Amino acid sequence: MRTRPEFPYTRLAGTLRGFIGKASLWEGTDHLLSVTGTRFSEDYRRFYYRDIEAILVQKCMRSGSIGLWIVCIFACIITSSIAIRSSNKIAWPIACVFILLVLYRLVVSILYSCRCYIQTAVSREELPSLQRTWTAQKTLGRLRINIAEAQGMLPENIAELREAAGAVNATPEPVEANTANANRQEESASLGFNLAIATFILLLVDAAISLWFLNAPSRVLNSIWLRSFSIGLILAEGAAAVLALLKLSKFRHLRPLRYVLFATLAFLAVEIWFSLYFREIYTQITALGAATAFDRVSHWVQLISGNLAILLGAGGLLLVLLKWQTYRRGNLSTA
Amino acid sequence: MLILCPNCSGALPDWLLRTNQTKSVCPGCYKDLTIEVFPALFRERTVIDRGALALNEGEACCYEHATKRAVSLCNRCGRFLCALCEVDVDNAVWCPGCLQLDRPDLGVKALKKHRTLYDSIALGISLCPALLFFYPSVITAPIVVYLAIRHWKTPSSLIPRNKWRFVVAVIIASLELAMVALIVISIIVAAQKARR
Repeated sequence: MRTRPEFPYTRLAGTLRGFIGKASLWEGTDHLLSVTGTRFSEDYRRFYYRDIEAILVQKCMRSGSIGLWIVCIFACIITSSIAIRSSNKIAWPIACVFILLVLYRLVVSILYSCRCYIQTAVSREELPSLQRTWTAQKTLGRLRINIAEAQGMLPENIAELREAAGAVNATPEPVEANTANANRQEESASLGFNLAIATFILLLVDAAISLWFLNAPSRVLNSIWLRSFSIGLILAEGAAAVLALLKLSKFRHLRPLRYVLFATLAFLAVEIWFSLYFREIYTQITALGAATAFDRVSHWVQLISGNLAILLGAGGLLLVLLKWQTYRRGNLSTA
Repeated sequence: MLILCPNCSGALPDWLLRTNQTKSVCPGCYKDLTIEVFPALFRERTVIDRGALALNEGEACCYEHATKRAVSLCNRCGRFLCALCEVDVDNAVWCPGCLQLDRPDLGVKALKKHRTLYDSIALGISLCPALLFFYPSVITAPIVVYLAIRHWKTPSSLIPRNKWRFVVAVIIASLELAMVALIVISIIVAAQKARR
């Protein structure tokens, strides 16, 4: 650690640089200095290592610097429009770089962002400069060493310390009697997840079939085999979605997944209505002599339906994978 | 010994804090949390003995509390202080009055909560004419020079920072002043030529 005598601080990882606001963290000899402010002034908060009781990192969505977003999106639009209009071979790679940059920022903002808090005996303050999980981990690694030097190490099992200090927030420990209930919940969650995965995979199969027969004439689409298969697939999807909803209904933490399953059911209802009445509509329109026009409409309906199914299926699978991690950690609660 | 969820402000149960680093979910709001606790959480709180505060006959009393016994002196103003009023600052005892942070005579770095960055202000002002029009430089350039001279030695940020902003601001302001002088001279010369 190299510091100048007049500035006894070393910069820690994580800096927030906005258009006006800024924030950073500095490591001192006996305290952590949190610097916030504008371009023309700075405010300081000191957290002495001996006083830090806990550090909390809460995973959440954070956009990061708005200015950087604006620059990235603006550059993306400009380079893409240049690439589309001109035949320049360099324009597309440059546009792709900016598109990838925007996608990267999007993924990081959604999946790898956090809020970090320091708790002392008298306050709990946010550290605004720590926005990404890896930055938070890196900084906490440094802080851990300093706090250990100031306070000593904590034993692996802190139950004895807790008892000695007198637990104020005495919440009962999970008892043996709850084990059977917990096992049932675990089974229920596992089955629910599998059913949700099945629903979304079937939905993707449905989308693939819709897009495969995209340019097929109404005569082919109207065949009894294809219609039976399509209706069977939709019913299987619906049954899997309903069962998944029933199994996952107890878990409040899985609310987004349930919304996607409800959306899937609504989509399937529209699709089944269209499949059932397709023959009737086709007969009526053919009698009117407008079969070609109907083919065009059918093409668009299939295109929209296929894309919607892909969106729902892929989105649902992504959500299941995300929630699956939480489930594997054993952190799902039914309370 | 109470840790609150930063999202819902609900008290996190003890069983979440089994080890010193726990990845968990708040039982109240189901947000993902990583909780790391340190020995200070389990430290016993210092309790001031009521007996030590009681004033006996013939004993000096606290400057702020007339019914409490004085136990120390403020190292800055010399007032008697009771156990409630003494504050440890940089290994010295201070009274709450001396802790008023805005007093300029208290040059304790550890108490500074705010600093104004005059170098950034000077640089910002010097760049204004370049971004807007040239004319404001008649006013802004002298202000920049004044700020640079007045606040050259004023303590700036607590974190590492050098004076390049002041230097750049003064150079820009000098160029702007030179340009203004050039324009004024050329106008006078042109007016004199026109008169002839």
